[in-house]
Amino acid sequence: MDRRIFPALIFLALTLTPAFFYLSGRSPDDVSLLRKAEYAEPLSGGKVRCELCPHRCTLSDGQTGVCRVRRNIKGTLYSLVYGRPVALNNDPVEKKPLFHFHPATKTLSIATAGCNMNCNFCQNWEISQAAPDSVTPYDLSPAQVVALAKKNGSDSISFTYTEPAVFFEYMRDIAKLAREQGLRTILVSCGYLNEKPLRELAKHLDAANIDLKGFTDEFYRTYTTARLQPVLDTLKVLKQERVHIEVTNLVIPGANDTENEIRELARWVKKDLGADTPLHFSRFFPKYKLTARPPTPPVTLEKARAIALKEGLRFVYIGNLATDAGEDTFCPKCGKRIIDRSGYFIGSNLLKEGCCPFCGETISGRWR
Amino acid sequence: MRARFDHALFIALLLGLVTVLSQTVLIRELMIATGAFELVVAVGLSLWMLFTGAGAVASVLFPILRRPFAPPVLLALVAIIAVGQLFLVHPVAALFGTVGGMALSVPAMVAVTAIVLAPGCLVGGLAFPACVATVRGGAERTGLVYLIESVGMALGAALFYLFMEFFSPVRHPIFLAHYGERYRPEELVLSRDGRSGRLDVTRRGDQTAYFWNGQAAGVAGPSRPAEAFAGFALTQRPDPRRIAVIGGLLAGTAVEVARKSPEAVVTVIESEPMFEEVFAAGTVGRNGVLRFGDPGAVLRELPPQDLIIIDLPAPSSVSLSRFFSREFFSFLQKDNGPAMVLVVGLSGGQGMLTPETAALNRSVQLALRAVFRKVLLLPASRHLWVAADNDLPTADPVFIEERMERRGLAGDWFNTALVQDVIEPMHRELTGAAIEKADARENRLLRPAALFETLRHTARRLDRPLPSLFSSLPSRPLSYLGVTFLFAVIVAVALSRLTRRRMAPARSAAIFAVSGGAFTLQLALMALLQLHVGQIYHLIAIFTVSFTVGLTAGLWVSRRMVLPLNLSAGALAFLSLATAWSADSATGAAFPVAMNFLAGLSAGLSFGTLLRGSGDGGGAAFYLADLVGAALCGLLFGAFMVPLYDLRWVFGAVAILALAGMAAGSVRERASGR
Repeated sequence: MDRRIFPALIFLALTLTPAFFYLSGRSPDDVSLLRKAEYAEPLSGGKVRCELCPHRCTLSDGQTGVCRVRRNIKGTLYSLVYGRPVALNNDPVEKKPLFHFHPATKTLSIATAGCNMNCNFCQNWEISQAAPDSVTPYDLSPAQVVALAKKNGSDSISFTYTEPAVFFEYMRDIAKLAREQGLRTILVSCGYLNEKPLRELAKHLDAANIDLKGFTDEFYRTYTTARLQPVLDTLKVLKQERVHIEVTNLVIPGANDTENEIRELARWVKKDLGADTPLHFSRFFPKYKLTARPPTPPVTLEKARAIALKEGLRFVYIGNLATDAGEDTFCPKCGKRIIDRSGYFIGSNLLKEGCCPFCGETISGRWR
Repeated sequence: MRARFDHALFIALLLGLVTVLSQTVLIRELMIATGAFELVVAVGLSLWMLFTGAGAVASVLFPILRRPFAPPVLLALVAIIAVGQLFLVHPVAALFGTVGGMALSVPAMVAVTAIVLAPGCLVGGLAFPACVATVRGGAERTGLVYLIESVGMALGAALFYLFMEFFSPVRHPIFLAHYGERYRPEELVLSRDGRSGRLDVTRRGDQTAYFWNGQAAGVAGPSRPAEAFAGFALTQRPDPRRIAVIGGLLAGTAVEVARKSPEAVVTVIESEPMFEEVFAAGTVGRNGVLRFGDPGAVLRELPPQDLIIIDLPAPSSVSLSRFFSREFFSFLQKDNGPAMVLVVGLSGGQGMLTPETAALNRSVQLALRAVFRKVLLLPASRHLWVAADNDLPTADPVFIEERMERRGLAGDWFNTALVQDVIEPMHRELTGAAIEKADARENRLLRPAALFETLRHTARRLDRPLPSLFSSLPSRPLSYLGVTFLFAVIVAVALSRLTRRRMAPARSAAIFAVSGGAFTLQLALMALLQLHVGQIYHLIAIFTVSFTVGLTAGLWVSRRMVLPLNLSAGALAFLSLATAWSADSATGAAFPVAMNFLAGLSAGLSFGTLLRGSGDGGGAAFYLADLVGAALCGLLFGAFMVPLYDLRWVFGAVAILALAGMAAGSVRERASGR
């Protein structure tokens, strides 16, 4: 036998084994189980461009977008997650966090796999960074989701945990049906969505909490693989569409925690969204790939809150941390405590028809 | 001539010593730099051997290495490069992460390990044949150098403990300044190497943070995760007088438990003695007692406990997996009586279960159910498994809230709203159903299913989920063994063909198999040591010494008398099977260490026989077969098989390798007419 056969055998073994292991994890697409995706532009050569989010992925046959859940199958773009949520919880609305929207109510929170950002600090990476076939989904139509919310006494349905934009069609259908049946709808998103689908969605939304992850494009590119401007545009569109907006900023040590960045962020929120927009500074906990950073020091969060208040924002909160006042709502006019919160627990809510009980000042928000 | 002979042997001795020291230090540093994934240890050791083997082979290209000055020059280079490698670890890792201190994907981890280790290992590989070429000793010179290098390795391993204590890199100001950069803008205020890992403490503003092996582990002072964990755990056993917390010191749970149970004696058990230097006696409050040592041994000394809380990191190693095993739960049950309630914290994530976390929870649930009458799940952001032989535990939010109020456990975060959120009916039902459906095996001492699921989960976090084929491997031991043995045979035959001009193919194959068997046995014994003794970083020196002393003794004996390979390799097979037979007996450290010595001895005797008459050019060929055999078989039958199958399968694989070595050796003997 030619002795060169042995190196060849080793080469074959080394190359074929990983290929076999890789292929064994793939399953063919059954198109009959999938839903055609909207906002897809057919291109020549069987390619498709997804127009849902600013990535605008151009996909050849068999390719899946950055989000992992929209795939070109023979020239048609499909959503791989329509009717296949992977997380379902009946959460307190404060968990979203929404502090100025029907406090102390439950919201049925739903998510599918996938996200159009790849944040290395993702707090829900188990499902957001997963391909649909690598996690176990439930099988729930929009009507079943709405029925589940009603059965569990939810006041609203939240699209949350992962990035809801990636299950746009499913979210829109649920939202539409939910509103018809008297439930409210909430979007908890990173805000990376193109204007056209966003305006369509906004018609069926009551509230949104948008994660403004940082205030420099460099931060977005380095930590999230996305860009800042589209997120700012989303916030402005939601404002125009009269959706109740709250903004969350996860403060990460050494990443987006400079006083200047916080100040610029607060200034922009005040100028473009209004001084009444609630802003939540959230404490970072090490997760996913950013596990060599400590949680955000309390002093950084306190300082961020002080800066935002000084810049003229009227409702600034601290999340994920026990503080004396960071989770409470104070009347911006008389300074008295109106809503006392401890985590998800509402100790007291003195609000009277949306106004301060002490001075009568109107407190911005959507209250029961 | 005499002086040259001594000189080269002395160099071989120092080479072994430097190699072991740098190996231990570099692999720990790589583990910290790449995200504390223990796979890096197996990858590091394997790449180490492969690069060293490659260096040995490459030596034939450089005739200059046969000159007397070559060994000392190469030794000096190995020592200098080792220091450089240490400083390279973190900058190289930073190249592969988009931001500093980011956990790396598996391919990036392998790449960083390869880049860091390659220079020193290749030069070290060149040095072995250079020493062989420059010593006197005729046909036996390869064996002689191997013997002397083994003595050096034994000395290096023995020095390791002192090295860790007095010359640890993190105690060196220059290294510390360089290392501290990874935590900027935090200020690194303390760094200590201990038996089971490294503790770093950073400070910024009013916050002191703890890092274990470079990964955030907790902060000093109150934290919401600790408050929730302690709160839920304490509601499960009304009025406990004696509480034991295993772990939880860095995460803050232990402090929180002691703070909220002023009427109870809270014993906090940490297995890392180095923590004693860092945490003062009063850390866990006036009613708290800090004990350092193996949790099993400490609990045996304590009176029966009313409540035991296990708050350990995920079972990412054999030594951690044992605390989630049926055998450990059974010990707790017998040691503490029927009034005890056990609470075990495990990775969960509210509504965010991946197939791997569901399987991990399932493996522990099965182990708990095998022991306790009542097993409950509280699916918080970190799942709490509650088990008892009484009816005290409850998942009823009304009871939990009542106990919370009565004992004053409510706080800023652990309050009625959180209780209702965690024990919300739909959430609890869906999570419970997902875990019940998960395909997992019960976590046992010798079959660490929880470790396997944790490794799968880590692979998903760092890179991507492992293909479904991997998750089916635990139920297919024979298929796995068949394919991997075939692969090993192909590599062994290819190697022997590659070096046929320098060494008889059958001899090379026999060295490959014996070396692979001996190294795999060493890994299996190391796992056994971890299972019975716990963290063994401090014991690695003793453990490695036991093997290399045995190896050295075997080589020395074989220079004086000819023993048939059937006897020495057969002894290796017998040793492995004997260990498998007694693997589940708690024997303490002495048994695995003694077995490791005997494994080294039988390997040394086998090598001595196989090296006899290997000639001048056999050094590189021997080193290549030895190192590739150890690296490949260590990975396939040791590192990969331990989490996949019962440890006894690994001992069986070693026996097969030893028998294969005997078979190849007998072909050689027949061919040479002996």
